[in-house]
Order: sequence, then structure tokens, then C-alpha cells
Amino acid sequence: MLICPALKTIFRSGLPYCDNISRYESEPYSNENLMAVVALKDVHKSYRAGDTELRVLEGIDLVIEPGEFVAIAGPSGSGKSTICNLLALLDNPNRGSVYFNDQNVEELGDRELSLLRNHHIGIVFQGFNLVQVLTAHENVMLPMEIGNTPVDKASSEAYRLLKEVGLEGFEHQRPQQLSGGQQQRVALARALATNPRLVVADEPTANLDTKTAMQIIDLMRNLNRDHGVSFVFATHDERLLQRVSRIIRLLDGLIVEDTMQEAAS
Amino acid sequence: MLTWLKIASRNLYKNRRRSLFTIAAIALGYGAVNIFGGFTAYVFDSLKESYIYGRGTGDIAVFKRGLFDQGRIDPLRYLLDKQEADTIREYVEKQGIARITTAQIKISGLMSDGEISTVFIASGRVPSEYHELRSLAEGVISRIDNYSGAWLSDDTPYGIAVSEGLAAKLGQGKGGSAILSSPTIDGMVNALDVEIVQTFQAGSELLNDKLILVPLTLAQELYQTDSVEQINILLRKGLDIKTTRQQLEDQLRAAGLDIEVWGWEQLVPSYFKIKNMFDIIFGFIFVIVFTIAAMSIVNTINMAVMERTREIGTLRALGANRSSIVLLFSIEGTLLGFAGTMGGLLLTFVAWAVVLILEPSWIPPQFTTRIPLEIYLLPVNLLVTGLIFLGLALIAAIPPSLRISRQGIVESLGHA
Repeated sequence: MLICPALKTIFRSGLPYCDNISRYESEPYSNENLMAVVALKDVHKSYRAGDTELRVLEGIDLVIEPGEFVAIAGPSGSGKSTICNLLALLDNPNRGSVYFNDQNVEELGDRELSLLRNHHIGIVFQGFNLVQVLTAHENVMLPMEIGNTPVDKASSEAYRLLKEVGLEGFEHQRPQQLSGGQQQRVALARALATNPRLVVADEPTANLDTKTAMQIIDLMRNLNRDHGVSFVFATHDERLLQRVSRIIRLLDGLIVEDTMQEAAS
Repeated sequence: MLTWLKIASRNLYKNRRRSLFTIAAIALGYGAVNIFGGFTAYVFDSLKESYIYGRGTGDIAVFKRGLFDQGRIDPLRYLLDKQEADTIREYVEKQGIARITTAQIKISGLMSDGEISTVFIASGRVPSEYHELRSLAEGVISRIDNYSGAWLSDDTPYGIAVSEGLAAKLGQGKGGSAILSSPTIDGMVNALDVEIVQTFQAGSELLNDKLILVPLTLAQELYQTDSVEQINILLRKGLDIKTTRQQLEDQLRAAGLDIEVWGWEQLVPSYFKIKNMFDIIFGFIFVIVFTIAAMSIVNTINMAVMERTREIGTLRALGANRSSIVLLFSIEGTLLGFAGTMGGLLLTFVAWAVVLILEPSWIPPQFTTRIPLEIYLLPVNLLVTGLIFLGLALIAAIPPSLRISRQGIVESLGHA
């Protein structure tokens, strides 16, 4: 098992410090001339519940490299979903910065952020979140249509992706006519529709049985390998962690472990 | 855009019961506004026709300056003498602006059958010209026969038409005879034997026991004058009344005549009072209907937004920006509005066809006769109110969609 050099530094110094991220302050981040997909720098996030402030993340530093297959693990309430939301640019930190493709997203307006999400980020939700009035094929086309891809091109790409996730013959089914595993496959195809740099999945297997969950994770890993897309997914299922090459463990809003490993085949 | 149209229309279909209620509210509102608007247009048009053709004011009237101001007390001092009347007629004829030019004089006095005497108010007209003027009416007035007996004739100088109330008061009818007496313009008393050739319904309860219609020559003979009170002109079609009125007045004054030229609406100021009343009622109805339709649309879009908050969060997560969300719900609102206005249009046509087939009639306030009830189909009104309802549907969808589009994506996604 390999330990991320940055985490080693943190553990040794005891400082909330990440060697790679610190370079953002002076120069664009690069790792062997390859730009990080997304990076969180000293990110704090809290929510207000009535008069109580609930601190979810407390100074997170995290870099996701191109092509990585990363699992964020931890118990409920440890901040997994919040990190996913920040990585997918769905939320803003209370403090700290989020960099996507070397750009501080704080500087971006709604239109630019939307474009960034559409072109570069695929998202898979725990509850699948397919648009119920659209067929599987139309759901996969949706991000491309939002991004103004010509309809013919979007349609053929959607057919190809559905075939790739094993849903050939189910293209014209509505979500309610598909099983949970099939819906999540549609969601995966949808996440890959715009050929993104990053796919973020928040507990993508939580609503699935073990066998289907394994199939989905394997499918994600294959897509990661075939498309070179970075995958980050949150899970509290320890069995799935064998399938990933990097595990980030969270506890009470802090990264307590960031390990590289050889993924089991 | 097509993607949003697809999602919007399918969501409306998915919630078809709710959509149908909203469409029905818009359709009923739009239909009600059109039907009432068509009815008021018919009322205004009928009123206008009744003044121009029924009363015989024509489009414009030429009379001595001051007749309707100072002349109200002593109208006989404000008559047009024969030379003036002839000059006006010749001038109008030369200009080629008139379809009909006819003179009239209003007189009053006592009508008696030898036993009973009662007050009369009369209009002295040239029977053939007045008949021709009435016959040119094209609307509802042309279909009203409010008299019985023969029409007055130029060849029957002492044949008169009497309102039914007056005939009843005197116990006379068609073929009866009476005596008309009145002071002449010189202050003497004059009386003439007349024959009742026609009875008619005056069109107004107040006048139905006073009004009579007499040949102009009879009225002039009774008043011992060859003057007339006014020259009524029915203009050629297409001529603008206001412009022509002003031009004629300027030209006749330049020719040395001390006259005024009024349009028909100046001669019957009650028209505007009635029109204003209907406009106010229409305004109230429009506001009420508009509010109900707006509330219905806002309610539907609000419910759609609440139910689909998570879907909105998903769309935002997939890269749809805020304006796309507003566009999506605006399309839904517009589709509801379009379906509603189409339904309303259908209702309007159905109501119009039913009225056309059943030919109902009614007695308007102050009227004594039943007149046909109609609903006008006015394309411009249909279009304008249709666009207003469509705009309303669009605008009503914007606030809830704007609100939800500004909500945080995570918050939207977390919505149950």
C-alpha cells in the first residue's frame, strides 16, 4: 500500500498542508506537466441548522489527478457527500478555494460554472436522479443537448454509451420501467455523455444490492480505464474499496488517510 | 430549446389533471372575456346604428351655430332658413361626400282627438329620404320592424306616424285621425288635421307616449315656416367622420354660413355614458377573470416547481444554467396559456354559433321592443386578449421558476 506523499508530509508535520496545492499560490498546479483535474485548498464547510452551526469539513486539502479512480470513505456524517458536492462544483466552501482545471471557481459566475459542469464534470447520484419523463436514451442525450451538441451527434453518442454500459435494447424505456441497477447504468452513461474530465458519484451503489453494486463499480472502473476519466465516488461500503486505486478516508470533516493501492481486478 | 419543450410538454401531460384544470380556467376566462367583449361590441354597434339610421342623425349634422347651447331655450331662433339649407345641400352634393342628405325639424305641441289632448314631440322628416337612410342600416337595426302600418309617404302630406303609447292614450290606431296644434314661429296658434297611417314603438319608454313622426312639409306648415332645424348627412363609406366634419364646418363657415357641424356622437352624448358604463363593467370582469387565470397558472407552476425541485437540481448539476430553468417553466406556462387560449377560442366560437343558430332576442334597458341578441367576433380583440392571456401565462411562470433557479443546487438535490 502506498501513502500519498502529500499526506505523509501532513502526518509528519502535523500541519494542514499539502505540498502540491501550495503551488497554486505562485504558479499553476502541475504534476509531471499534467494539470490536476480538481483541487480543494483549505476548504471549510459548515451548515446552519437553526441556531446551531454544523461544521462538516474543517480545512480539507485534496487534489484529484487525471485518470484517478478514487473512493472517499467514511462513516455517515463524515463529510463525504459535501466533498463530492464541492468537487462537482455543486456547492461553494465557506472558506478555502476550489480549483478546477487550474481555475479558481470562486471567480466564475453561474453561466461559466454551468458550462464547466456541463463540459467537464459527470455526476452520478445515489438516487439515480434520471428525468422521469425522458427515456433512457433521452436522459443520456440531455447533458449533450444542454451543451448544444447537434441532435444527431448526441443521439448516436447516447446509443453508443448505452451499449457500452450494457443497456442495448433498453434505450426507449422510461426510468420507472428499469431496475435500480439499470437506472444507475443510464446515469453512468449520462455522466460520460459530454466526455468529461471528472465523474463524481455520491454513494452510487447505496440503493443497489451487493451484486449489482459490484457490477456498477466494475463498470465505473472499466470506463475509467477506457476513457481515462477521473472517477471519484463516495461510499461507506468497505467491500468496494478493494476495487479502487486510491482511498481517502474522512472522519469528522478531516482527511485521516489518503492511500494509493493496487486495485483488485 | 427543443429539449426544454419536450420536458415541459411531457411534464404537463404527466400531470394532466392539474394541467387540464389550469387550461380550463384560462379557457373559461378567455372565452368569457371574448363573449362579453363581443356582446358589448354588438351593443355599441347597435346603439350607433340606432342613432345614425334609426333616429336618423346620419354621421354628421349641420345646424345653426348655438342651437344646442343658447338655442335650447328658444330653438326657433336657430333654424336654418331655406336659402341656407339649400346652400348646404348643394355644397354637400358638390363635394360628393354624402350617401344621403336629409333635413329635419323638431316640433312640439298638442295632439287631440277632439276629446283628449296630450303633448307631442315630433320630428319632421322628408319621408322618402328618411326611409332611404334607415334602409342603409346593415346591422341589427336593419332587422327591426318596430312599426305597423304604412311608411310615411311624400305623397301623403298629412299622414303621420304615432308612437304606440300616444295612440293608446288617445284611443286611436292606424286609420284614425287627430288634430295637431302648436304655436307658429310668429307666436300664433296653428292646427292641422292629420291621419294616423302608422304606429310605432318609440324605442324609449319615456317617449313612447309622446313621440310622433311627421312629414317635413307638415311640420313646416304647422310652424308656418320654410326653415329646417338641421341637415343630416350620411357620409360615403370610408370617410373619416371627424375629419370630414371639421373640413365641412370650415368650408361652410368660409362660405359665410354661421353654422356648426357635429358628429353623431356629439348629438347623442348618452352613447358615451352607456359606453363608459359597459367599459367599466368589462374592465371589472377582465380584471377578475385575469386574476383567477393568473392565480391558477401561478398555483400550477408553483406545484410543479415544488414537486420537481430535485429534477431542477439535477438539471442544474448537468450544466443547465439559471435562465434555462426559467425558460423550462416559462415554456410550461406558455403551453398552458396556449392550450387555454385555444380552448377559450373554441368556447367563443361555440357561443357565437349557438347565438347565431338560436337567434335569441332581448329587451335592452329603456327599450320597448325585443331586439336580436348577437355576439360579434372581432379578430383584433380575439388576438389582443389572446396575446394578453398568453403573456399572462408566461409572466405568471417566471417568479416561481426564478425563485427555484436561485436556490442552491445541493439544496434542490436534497429536496424530497
